Amino acid sequence: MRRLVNELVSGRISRRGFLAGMAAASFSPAAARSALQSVEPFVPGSPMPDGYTREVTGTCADLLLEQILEAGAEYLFVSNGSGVGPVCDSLVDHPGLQLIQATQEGQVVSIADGYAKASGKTGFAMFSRVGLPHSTSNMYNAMKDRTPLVLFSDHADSDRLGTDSHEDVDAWIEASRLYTKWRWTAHEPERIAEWVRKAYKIANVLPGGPTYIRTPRDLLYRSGVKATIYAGQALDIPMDLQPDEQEIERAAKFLLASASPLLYVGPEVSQTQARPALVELAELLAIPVVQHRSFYADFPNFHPLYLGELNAVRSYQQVYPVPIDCLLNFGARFPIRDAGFLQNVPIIHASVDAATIGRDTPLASALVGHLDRIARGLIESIKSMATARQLEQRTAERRAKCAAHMASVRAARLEAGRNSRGEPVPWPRLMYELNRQMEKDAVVVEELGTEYKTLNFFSFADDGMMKIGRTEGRALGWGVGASAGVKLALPNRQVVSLQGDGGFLFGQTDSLWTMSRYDIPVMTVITNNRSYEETRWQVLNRGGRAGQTHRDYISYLGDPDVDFTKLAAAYNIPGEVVSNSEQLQPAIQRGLRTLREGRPFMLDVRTRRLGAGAEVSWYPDFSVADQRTRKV
Amino acid sequence: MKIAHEWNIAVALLPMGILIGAGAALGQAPFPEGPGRDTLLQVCTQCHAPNRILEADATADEWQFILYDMIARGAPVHEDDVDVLEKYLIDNFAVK
Repeated sequence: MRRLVNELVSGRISRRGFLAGMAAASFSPAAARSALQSVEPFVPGSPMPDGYTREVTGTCADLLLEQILEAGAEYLFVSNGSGVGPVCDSLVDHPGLQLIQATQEGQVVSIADGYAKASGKTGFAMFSRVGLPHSTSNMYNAMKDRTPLVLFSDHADSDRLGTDSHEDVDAWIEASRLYTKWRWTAHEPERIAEWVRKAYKIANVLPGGPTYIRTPRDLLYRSGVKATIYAGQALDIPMDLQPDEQEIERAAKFLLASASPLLYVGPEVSQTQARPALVELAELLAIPVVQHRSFYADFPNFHPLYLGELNAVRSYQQVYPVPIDCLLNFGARFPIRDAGFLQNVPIIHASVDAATIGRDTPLASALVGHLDRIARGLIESIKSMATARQLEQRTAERRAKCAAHMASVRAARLEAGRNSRGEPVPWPRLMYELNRQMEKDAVVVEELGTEYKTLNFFSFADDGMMKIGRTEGRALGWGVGASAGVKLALPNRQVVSLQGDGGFLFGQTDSLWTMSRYDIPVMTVITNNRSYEETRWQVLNRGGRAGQTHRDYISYLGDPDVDFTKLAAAYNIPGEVVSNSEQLQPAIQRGLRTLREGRPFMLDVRTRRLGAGAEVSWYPDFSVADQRTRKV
Repeated sequence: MKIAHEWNIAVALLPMGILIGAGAALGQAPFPEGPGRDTLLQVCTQCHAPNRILEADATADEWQFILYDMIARGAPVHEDDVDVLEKYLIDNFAVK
C-alpha cells in the first residue's frame, strides 16, 4: 500500500488508479475507499479543508521546524555539523522543541529509532551532510524494522552543486536509497514544509520506515520565505483498514476445522497495537503461540499458550501429539526457515503489508489490513460459527496440556537462573537477578545475540515489561543510543539496556555522552564474556582449519580486557564491575538506586563463556612496537 | 575443555529452529539405565547427537553449568525433572 500512497500523493496515479491498485492488493473496497479518503487531502490539486493549513514567513529552517512541530515532534535529535546552523538560529524562536544532541550520526539515528519504537511516534533527526555514511548502519536497521523516522541533512550550497566540490559527491541521496522508503533533495525553499509533510506521511504509513531529505545549506539560511504549513491532523492517516470480510470468514473456517493450529506472531502485531485482540483470539481457540524473531514481544511471553520460539513446538508436540495442521501467521515476515513440520500445512497470513504478503510462501488465505481489525474479525466470525460450549469442548485438552507444560518449563528456567552461580557469572543468573529487582513495568532494550535470553526470564505484556530490540537488521551499534531514545519516550518507566561487550564496542560509547548530558537514567548492563560469541560459534564449529587448530582470529576480546565502567566514568557515569554471582544483587540494587536519583549507570558483568572456543584465548598477536627499528 | 565444542552446534542453531525434527531414533542410544535417562532422551537429544553427551569431557561443576545454561536457553525440561537429570548427567558422565 505504501507504494500506492506514494504514487498517489506524487501525482503519478489517479484516484481511480489508486482504488484499482488497492483492489489488486487484496484490500476490500471499503478499505480502499477509507485509505483514499485519508490520503486525499495530500493528492496534488486537492482542496485543503479549513484549518489544515496556515501561511508562515521565515527562513527555510523556520519552516522546517514549524512543520515538524505540527507533525508532533517533541524532540529534535541532532549531531553536530555546520549545516545544523540554520536550525540553531531558528530554535531560538521555537522553544517548544527540545534539542537532544548525540556525538555521531549513527548514534543520533539509533536514539531517534529507540524513541520511535517506544513512543509509536515518528522520530526526527538531523545531521551533517557528510554524516550520511555514518548514519546508514542504523538507517538500515530502521528500514528493516519499518520504524518511522524522518531524517534530514544539509547539502552542498546551490552554486556548488555538481562540481565535486568541498563535502559533496554527485547524487549523495542515492547512498540512502536502500535504507529509506523515500528520499529527496529539496531545492525549493518555499516547498520545504511540503516535502517534510510528505516525508512524515510516507514514514508513517504502515509498514513504516525511514525517509530522508537533504537541502542545500544556503537555502536553509534563506530568509523571507513564505510557505504553507500543514496542520498536525492533516498528517494523520487512519490505518485501521478493514480486511476483506469474505476472506476473514474463509480463514475462520480453516481455523475451526483445524485439530492442531499454531499461531506465529511477528512485529506487525505490536506496531498495530493488536496484542489484546490477538490474545483474545488465541484464548478463544486455545492456539499455542510461537514468537517470530522480533524487536518487540508480540504476545505475552508468560501466557499459558506461549511456547517460545519455533523450536519449542517439538516439546509441545510431545505433550499434545497432534500434528500441526494450520498455521496462522500474524504479522511475521516469511519464510520460516526449515520448519519441516510445517510442510504442506495450510498457512493463513495476516499482514498490513500488501506488497510482501504471500511473496515467498504459498498461502491458503491472505488477510490484508490492520491486524487488530483482522483479529477482531476472526473472533466475531468464529463466534458466529460455533457456540462457546462447542469451542470449549474442542479446545479444553489442548489448553490444559499446553498450560501445564509451559508452566513447568518456565518454572524450571527460573530455577536454573536462581541456582546458577560462580565466577565468571553465568548469564541466566544475571537475568534472574535483574528480573527480580527491576520494576514490573520496566523496559528492556536489548542488543544481545539472541532474543531468548530475555524472553525466557522477563514477563513482557501490555501490563508488564516491554521489550525493544534486537533489530531485525542485526547491524550492531544500535542498542545504547536506542535505550536513550526509549527513556526519552517513556521517562516514567525504568529502562535497562542489555548489551554484549562485542556489541558495545561497535562505536556505542558515544551515546553515553548523550545519556550523561541530559540526565537520561538508563542502566546499561554489559554481559562481558570477552568474546563475540555468535561469530566464535559460527567460525570455530564448522570443522574448518581455524576450529581444528583452536585459532580464534576475530572473536576473542579479552586482550585488552576492557573495563567498561572506566569508559562510563569518562562521561561522569557511575558504574560497577561484577565478577561473581554473589556480587550481582547488591550491584543491581545500587544501579537501580542511581536511576531513581536521576543518573545513568553502567554495570559490567563478567560472564562465563560456553560453546566452541570458549576456552580459546589465542588471537593473532602482533605488536607494531616490536617491528620498529627506531624506538620513536 | 572439550565440552565447549561438543555443545556448540545446537547452541548456535537452537534459536534458528532448524533442528526441529532432528531427534532421530535415539531410543537405542547407549545411555545407561537410570532415573533421568528418559528426560535426557526426550529433551537433550532433540538438538544434540548422543556422542555430544557421551564424549563430553566435563566435570560435575561444568555439567551443572551446561544443564542450567541449556534450560535457560529453552531446553524444555520440566521443573520436576531438573534435579533428576542433573544427577544422571553427573553420575554417568562427569569427569572425576
